[in-house]
Amino acid sequence: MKNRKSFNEIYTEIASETNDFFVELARRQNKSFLISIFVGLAICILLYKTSAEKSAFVMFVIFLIVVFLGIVINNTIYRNRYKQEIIGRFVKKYDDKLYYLPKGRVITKHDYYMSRFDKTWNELECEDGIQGKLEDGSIFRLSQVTVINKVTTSIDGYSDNVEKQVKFKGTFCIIELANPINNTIELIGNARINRFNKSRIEVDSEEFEKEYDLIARDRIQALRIFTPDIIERLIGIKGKTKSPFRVKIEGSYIFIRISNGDIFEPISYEGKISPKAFMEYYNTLDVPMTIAEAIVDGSKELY
Amino acid sequence: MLILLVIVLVLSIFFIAEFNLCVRLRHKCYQSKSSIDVFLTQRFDLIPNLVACVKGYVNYEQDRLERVAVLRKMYDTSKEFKYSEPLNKEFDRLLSVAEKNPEIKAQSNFLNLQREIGKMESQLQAARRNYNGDVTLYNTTIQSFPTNIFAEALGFKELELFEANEDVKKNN
Repeated sequence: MKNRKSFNEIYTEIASETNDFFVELARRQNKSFLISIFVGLAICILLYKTSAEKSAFVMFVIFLIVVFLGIVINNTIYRNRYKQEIIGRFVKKYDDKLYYLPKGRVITKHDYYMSRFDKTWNELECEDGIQGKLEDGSIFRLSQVTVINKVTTSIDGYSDNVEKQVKFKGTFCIIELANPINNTIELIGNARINRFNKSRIEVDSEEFEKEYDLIARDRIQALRIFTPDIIERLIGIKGKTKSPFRVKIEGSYIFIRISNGDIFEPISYEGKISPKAFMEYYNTLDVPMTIAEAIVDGSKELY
Repeated sequence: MLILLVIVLVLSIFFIAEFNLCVRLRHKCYQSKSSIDVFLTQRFDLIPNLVACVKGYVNYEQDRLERVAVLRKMYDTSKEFKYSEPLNKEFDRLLSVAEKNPEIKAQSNFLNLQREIGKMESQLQAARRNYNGDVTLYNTTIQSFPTNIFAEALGFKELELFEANEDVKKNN
């Protein structure tokens, strides 16, 4: 297992390094807000002088729209800069072999299709991509994905009714193993345990049994991977996420899916982020990373 | 009358479901046990190879070989864990002797054998854990209320967990 900086170390470093960033951002936000007000006033005055419409109410509404647009544009710019500065730094400090790509499409439709987590879907949106390599050379890719099933039905043969059903929104991670595992294993966490599932493996750890369902085609091989040490590491994830998650190991791939909605969203628009809020970012990356590394380390037993 | 019939029907369905569950869990235990047997058989099949590695360097008594053959036969007939334990001890003793001798350790056939033994040990350990897990679930089910009311009467007896022998515990 790779030695990494602890949460406190990363948070302290980022808090001190980005202090100037937040000060500058607050200054820019105030400046943008003032500019929006002036632009709004200017447009209102121009319209008042040039058009026939002299209603104060209409002018006020136009003024509000312009100011609102200014705020939205500023927040979009802020959001992108925030992600580069805060999330980008955090990912690099967490593991220098990982790269953060806020708009990068690191997960493709084919990747999600291979996981077979969902059967009926046809659209995939992704953002907040992270990719890199694990210690043994396995390739790690993670992203926030939204999986949508879009159904178009024709009404009376003239117009189309489009229905969009969101099947999944959260973290999706795929690891391409340097050494494939000839088995199909599934690990389900933070979900209802089905103790009498025929394919379920009973593991010699009461804590693990309470938190996870371990299902495998080749049970003996699965237990060679999930040794007591690996089980201990997986039990350590408890408390880091309350969201249900599923892990599938199939051949050369590990697929991890965590139903945690939006990830890496800006928490605050002014001032420093709180440790509690920053913990969300940390756990979003740490949970799939811990699971991936535990399985990769466990699978070394097979070779 | 109808209520009584419904109650009897529900109880019957419940009883059948629990009975089938106990049968399924018991068969799972038998299946897990046979996995251990497969890997133990593989392990004991390696004893002649180990003896061949060790023979040129260490005096291996003939009567010891005969004793191993008898134990092997007893285990193959009964498949009881108590007969596998002396064989396991003999296997561990041979391996220990080989590993302490630098000349034997340097042999390429011993190195290959060691790799194979390592892989097999890992499989055996996993098979034992699998068996213990299945037995624990089965024993818990037949001892829990209300299954315990009829389990023993219908022949569902507690199964023994696999436990490491005293020598292994001492060494650890």
